[in-house]
Amino acid sequence: MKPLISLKELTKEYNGKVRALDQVSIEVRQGEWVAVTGASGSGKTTLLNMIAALDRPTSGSLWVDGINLLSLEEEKRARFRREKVGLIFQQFYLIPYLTALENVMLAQYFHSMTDKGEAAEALRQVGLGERMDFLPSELSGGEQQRVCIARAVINQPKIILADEPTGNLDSKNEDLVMEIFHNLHKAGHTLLFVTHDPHISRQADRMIEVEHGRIVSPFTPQIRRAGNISRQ
Amino acid sequence: MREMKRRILFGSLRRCKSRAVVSVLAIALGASLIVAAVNLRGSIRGKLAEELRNYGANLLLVPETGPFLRETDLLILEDKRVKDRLIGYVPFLHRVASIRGKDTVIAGTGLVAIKKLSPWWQVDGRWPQGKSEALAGFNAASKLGLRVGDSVTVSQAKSRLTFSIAGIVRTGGAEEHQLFVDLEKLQLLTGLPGLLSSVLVSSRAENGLDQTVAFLQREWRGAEVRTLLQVARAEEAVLSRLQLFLTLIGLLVLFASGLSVFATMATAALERKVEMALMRALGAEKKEIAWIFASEAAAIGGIGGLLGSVLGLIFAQVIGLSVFRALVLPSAMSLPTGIAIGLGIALLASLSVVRKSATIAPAVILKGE
Repeated sequence: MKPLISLKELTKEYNGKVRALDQVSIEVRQGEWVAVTGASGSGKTTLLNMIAALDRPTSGSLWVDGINLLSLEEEKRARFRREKVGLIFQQFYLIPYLTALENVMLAQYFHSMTDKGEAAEALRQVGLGERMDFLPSELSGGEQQRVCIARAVINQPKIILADEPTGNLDSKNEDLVMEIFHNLHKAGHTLLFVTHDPHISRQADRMIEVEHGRIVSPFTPQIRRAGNISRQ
Repeated sequence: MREMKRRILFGSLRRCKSRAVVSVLAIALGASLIVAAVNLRGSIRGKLAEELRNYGANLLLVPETGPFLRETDLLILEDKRVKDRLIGYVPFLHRVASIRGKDTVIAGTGLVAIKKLSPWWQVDGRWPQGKSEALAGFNAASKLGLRVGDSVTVSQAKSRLTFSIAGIVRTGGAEEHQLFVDLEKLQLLTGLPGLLSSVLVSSRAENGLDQTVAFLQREWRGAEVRTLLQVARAEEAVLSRLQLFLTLIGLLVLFASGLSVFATMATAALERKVEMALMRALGAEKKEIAWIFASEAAAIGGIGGLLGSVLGLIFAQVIGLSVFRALVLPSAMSLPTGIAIGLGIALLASLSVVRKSATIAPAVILKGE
């Protein structure tokens, strides 16, 4: 079976001096949950941005769902993002003057057309059925992140990419959000997380550790636990 | 879909309400001045033209053949078929004579009649009160060293006449090079009794200048009737200057309002760069981001233009009533002009912001550090 995501010798340099990614090669299969870990500045967010077509690599090859991202023009990259990718950020990034429901509908709006019923159902599934008419400022951090998850999944993307999705949440909300991710995984979604948190990364099928822009340890959580090489 | 567009547009405008209001008012002010100019151009032109035509002579009678007109023909101007249309007339005999050894143009005329017909003449001293008094043009007086109260001898061939200078006149025209004396006295001096060089006639414009011209051409044999171009030119000059003034002020205000819109849009773009980056990350195309800012600018410009049209009509009425004492008929172009100006300025001012926002790099803005 062809991998959903395939990176070969992917390199990203800034100004020809700083090498954020250095000859990175990974593959992610359909339905897999992969956690990308590493220290701050190791290049894990850059890796996520490449796969999300938010940034362009300097060299190498990058295929997602049979599409060569290196060959895509800017507007086709935008189309790729709205059709193939659901993005979740640590800072939530909700539009402050739109309600929770409208924030979810915004992703529909850029994808094709808005459907209030579908957006409301997505919010119900993340436990926000009663708070869909609230503005982001009226929601807690955990609730805001759940709106982001609803927004990320509303267009049924092939891949859900999350950058430190629990980074701004307390442990109670972290558990709530992780439960949603487990449900999404069980439903067959492909998840790729960037996280510092070993507790989060251990819940993935597979972990990729990045250091100075290179893959240093592609482990399954079970192997890492067995070898006791957690970097806690 | 439209609902979402509307929510994005009004949601963002509500967030920067005070800045948007300032921009709307700035555009409204600029557009109002241009709209006022457009309205004044249409309505005041006719009114001003009539007033100017009533102000001073507007017809000149000169000999068609031969050097002179006959003074007895002035009776034609007293004919009841034309008299009611006339404000007045002034006969002239122009001759060159010597004063203090220098050749000078002497204008023999009715000094009482010319005072009535040329109320804008500025006289230093006073108007002549008898036939032995004269009025010196400013340049002639300077050239000849004449002062008010001086006695001056005018010579032609072997004849001489002495006049006392009652006043020195400024007219802004060729009259400033002449010496004005009593018509009969000059006729005697030059040996041309009953003869005239020209007659200036002031006809009321509202009663039909053309009818007066036709009557005089028909009745006054040997005279050519000319309409004075300078009146029409003065009319044009006054209107053009007024319009130029309003337009320049309008353009300056529009420039300032353009800066205000630019500042509003630039600040909004700065404040909303995360929002725009998120939209790009969600798959928004450049044109969709550009649409958001262009719509905001268009809303500011459209509302400003609409408000400016209404204000412009009010300004035009105020100017019309206070300056020209005439009501201004609203021009059908007021609304399209105001809105077009508002939209044009707002879109032009936001062009660079729109382009810059559309090319925002989401990976840089959303790096999440």
